[in-house]
Order: sequence, then C-alpha cells, then structure tokens
Amino acid sequence: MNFDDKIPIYYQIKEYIYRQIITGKLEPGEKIPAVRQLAVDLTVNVNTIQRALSELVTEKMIESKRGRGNFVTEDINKVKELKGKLIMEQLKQMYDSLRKLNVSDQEILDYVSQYINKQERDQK
Amino acid sequence: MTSFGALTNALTRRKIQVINHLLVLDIIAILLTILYAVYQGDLSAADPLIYTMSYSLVVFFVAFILIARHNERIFVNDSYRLVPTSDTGLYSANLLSAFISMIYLGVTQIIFSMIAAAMNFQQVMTTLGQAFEHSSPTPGSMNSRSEIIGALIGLVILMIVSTIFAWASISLIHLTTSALTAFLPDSRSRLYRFILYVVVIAAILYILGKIVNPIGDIFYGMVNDNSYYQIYLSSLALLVVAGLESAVNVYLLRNWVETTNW
Amino acid sequence: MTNSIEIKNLNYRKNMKPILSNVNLTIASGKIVGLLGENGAGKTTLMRLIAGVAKGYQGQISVVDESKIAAKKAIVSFSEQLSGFNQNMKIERIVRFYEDVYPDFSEDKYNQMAGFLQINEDQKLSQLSKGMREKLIIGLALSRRAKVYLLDEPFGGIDSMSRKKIINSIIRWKPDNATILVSDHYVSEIASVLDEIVIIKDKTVFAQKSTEEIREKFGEGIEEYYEKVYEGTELHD
Repeated sequence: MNFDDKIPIYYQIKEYIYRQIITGKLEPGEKIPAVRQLAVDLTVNVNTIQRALSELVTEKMIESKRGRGNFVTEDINKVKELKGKLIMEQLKQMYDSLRKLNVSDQEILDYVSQYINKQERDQK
Repeated sequence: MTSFGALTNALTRRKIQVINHLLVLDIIAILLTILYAVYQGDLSAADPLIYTMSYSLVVFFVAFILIARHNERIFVNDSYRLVPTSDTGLYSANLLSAFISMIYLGVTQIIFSMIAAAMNFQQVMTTLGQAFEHSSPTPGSMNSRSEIIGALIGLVILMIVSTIFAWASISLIHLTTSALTAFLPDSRSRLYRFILYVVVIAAILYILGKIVNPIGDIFYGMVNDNSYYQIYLSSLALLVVAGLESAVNVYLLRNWVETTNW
Repeated sequence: MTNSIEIKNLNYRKNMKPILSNVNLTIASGKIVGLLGENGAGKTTLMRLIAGVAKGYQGQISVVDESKIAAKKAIVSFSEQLSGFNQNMKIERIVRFYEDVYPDFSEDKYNQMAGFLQINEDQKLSQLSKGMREKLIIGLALSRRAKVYLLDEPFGGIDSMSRKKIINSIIRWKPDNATILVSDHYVSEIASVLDEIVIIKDKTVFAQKSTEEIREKFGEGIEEYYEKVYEGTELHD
C-alpha cells in the first residue's frame, strides 16, 4: 500500500483499518490478520502496526484476546459512531474548502443536492 | 561461534579444490608425455615413473604458490574475516588447512608414482633392494641402513617445515605491507607500493637472517657434525622461527590488517 | 531491554586521515534503522566497524553487550560482497561454505528466500548479473539468525519488483528483537519500513530521529527531511 510519507504511518494504518471496518470488509467480531501478516501486506514495520493496533485497542475499536489475537469490536454502536465520526471529518474538510471559496451555507446544500441528483441520473 | 574443526574443514575444502584442478593438469601432462613417447617409439618401462616424478616437482612448486595465494586471500577478504572466530583461530585453521592440502597432494603423488611404477614393478623393487644392500650395517657411518632411512625421513620433515616456514614468511611480508598501507598516507602510485614492498621484504629478510642463525647455532653444538640429526635440528629451528613469525602475523591480524577484498 | 548497538566516543582514522570522529550512537533492539549520508560520508565504514572488520579504532563498540570481536561476529550479519570466492565457484558451494562456517545459518530460511528471489544454485558467481548477485548477497545475509543485520546498500542493482520482494522478506522474517541497519539511496522506498534514521555528516552522527516523529512534528517525508538536514536548512533540536 502506498503511504503518504508526510503523515505518520501508524495513523494511516488506523485510517485503513477504520475503512475496513466501516465498509464491512472487517465485520464486527471478526479476527484481524496477525501483526506480521498485516506488516507484510501493507509493507510497513511490525512496530508501526503494533502502535496502530494498540491505539485502536485503547479506542475500543479492537479487542485483544489473549492467545487468540485481535478482533474487531462486536459493539455495533461503536462502529456506527466511527462511521459518523469519519463522515463528519470528510464533511469538515469539504466544508472548510468551500467556505474558503466564499460559498455560502445554502449554496453548499444546493450544490450537494445537484451533485447527488446528477450521480443518480448518470447511473441509470 | 564457529568451531575450529568446522573452519579448518571449510578452508581445507577450498584448498583441495585448487589442488584437484592442478592434479587434472598433472594427469593430462603425464599421459600426454607417455603418449608422445609411445608415438616416438621410444618408451621404456621406467619412463612413466620418471615422468610422474618429474612432474611431481613442478606440481609441488605450483601448489605451494597457489596455496600461498589462497592463504593470503583469507586474510584480506570479508568473506573469511567475518567468520565468528578469533583471529588466532582463523590463522591457525588457515595454516593447518594449507598443511593438510599439501599432505593430500603428497599422497596423490605417491599413488600416481605407484601406478606409474606398477608397469615396471620388478625393476623398481630390484633397484631399491640394491640400494639397501649396498649399505653396510655399521652404525656411526653415513651408510648404515637405519641412518639412510633416518636421513630420508629427516629430509621429508625438513621439506615440510620449510614449506610452513615459507608460508609464514610470505604472510608476514603480506600482512606487514597491508598494515602499513592502511596506516600510512594513501597513495595510488604504483612506485610507492613497489618501494614499500621492497623495503618490507628487505627488512624482514634482514631480521630473519639475524634470528635464524643464532637459533641454528644453539642447536648446532648439540650433536656431532656427521650425524643426520642435524637435519632434524634445522627443522626444529625453522619451526621455532615460523612460530615467531606466526605470532607476529596474528598480532597484525588482530590489530591492524583490514580487508581489501582482493 | 538491552540496546543492540552502543557506540561511545568512536574515532577512526585511515591513511592518517580521520574518517569518523566522536561518534556516539545507541540503537535499541528490534528497530529497523536507515543509515543516511552522502557517498563517502562514512556509512560503510561505520558498518564495518560494528561488524569487526575495520581495525585500529578508539572508543567502544558493543553489540548486545558484547565487546569482544569474535563474539560480535557471531551475532552480526553483514552483507558482504562475496569477493573472497573464486569467480568460478557455483552458488551451491558458496551456500555450503556459509552453512559450514556460520552456526546460525538457517538452510530453511535460505531456501525460502532463494525460492522467491529465483536464485539458481547451479550458476557460477561470474555468470550472475549484478542484480542477481545482490539478491544472493542479501539472501545469505538474512538467512543467518543474527541479532544485528548490517545491510550496506543492498538494493543497488536490483529491479523494482525484486526490491519489493526483498523488503517484504525483511518484514516477514525479521525476528522481533533483531535490529537492522540499512544504508541505501532509495530512501523513499524503504521509508515506510524504517523506525529511525541516523544521518552521518561531517564525520559523525549528525542526527538520529524516529521516522514517525519526523512526520508528526515536521510534516515532512523522510527523504525531504534528510535533504534539508544535509543542506543545513532544517532547524532541528
């Protein structure tokens, strides 16, 4: 996987795992691949994976079960919460960029509607 | 850490490979010479043995040089210097492997000679037998049978020890020059290196000359002149000097000589 | 946990010229450290000093608390250039030499690596392309179960796909508390794998930083940071 060298890798790994969880590639309660396997798959240092995982454990997105490995939380609410949080982060970015272009709040809503309608039409 | 046995084994294997290549050439040379004589129509029964023994001399000399070359490579190559062993161990294993390879060579030459003599067995045995019969059985004079055997064995030992001494001396020259080259200001000039080698060789020969004589003298007085024991004592003297040289070599290896990966 | 490498007040001269002065370096175990510096800065020399093939230095170098040279050699694996072997030698024999002479050489590990690097054992040393040779060198170096691996510009002649394979094999097989010191020009490619970088400049350790710290504090990529430090435009603590 190609990482942005300017941003801490452990952080990017966390984001990657968040995405996996939210999109359902990693389901609640599912076992996460072993640390070394993840390291190989993502081409990063084992230490970095461990740091990312330990933060995820602290955030309770992941549970560490002794002797058996790391598992995604079974708490569906946590997953929803995460999804909400990430969506808000994306929205914030978009909102801040558009505000810099002096787009008003109402204009933002209008353009978003327009855009989504266009997407739906294009798919038909 | 690598065991001394494993290291010696590995080094000996390398050297024996070198010797084997040489033996192939040896055999080819002997066979070609025999075939040539057959072609010329003047092959006598004694000839194969004579050819074999003559080529032996050449083979021993060339082997000595090739082994010396391999010896020196060990000291200046990462491949060997990285091996987990003390420098003393490396040097000893190296010298031992050289010795073993030369013995191996000796054995093969004896076997070749016996094969060559097989065509002519009778005559060889007769000649040897005559040589022994001509010796008178009075001890004290140089002609008694046991004295001849003693002298011969002494001669072989002297040759072996001389070879070891020569290798130790070559290493001494090489390692001293190598240490100096790393220490002194760098110069790509060939003339500089040449002069360095000459100076080192001269200095070492001078020092050796000063040491060998007194050591020899110590032993000289121990036995009377006409005895073949002299040969054994010369061997001992050389062995002592080779030992001293080796001590210096190990010192140089441990503290000064780096790898140049030649 | 003991540090893998501890260097104190190291001074090293060659041909009466100082090459490294006052080097102090401590590397914790288990780290993958990038050794950076321009050509001739002393990276290879530093590795050779740690490996025990450079002599006549002042100061202390201890590897996992060992300071005797033979003991160090037993736990340090250095990517050597195989120049001690005859050009006519088959790879198979070279591997055999390694097996005989290094008690910690793992035949299994070597076979696995040789397999996916596609090393042909029947070939002679002289027949190898530069890239193949480098693969063999690194295969041999990584097949030892050492505590410290010193890889000196291991990727020089190797194609991009093989580089990735080698990096993957390093990640896959590195024992947890083994330390790897890599000097390389392809900084960007290995940046995501490095825990720390050590920059050699002006004959000494100019900087030592964790890679994540660089990203977090400076918002810069590793190569960028290194270049700035080298040019002196980076203000660092």
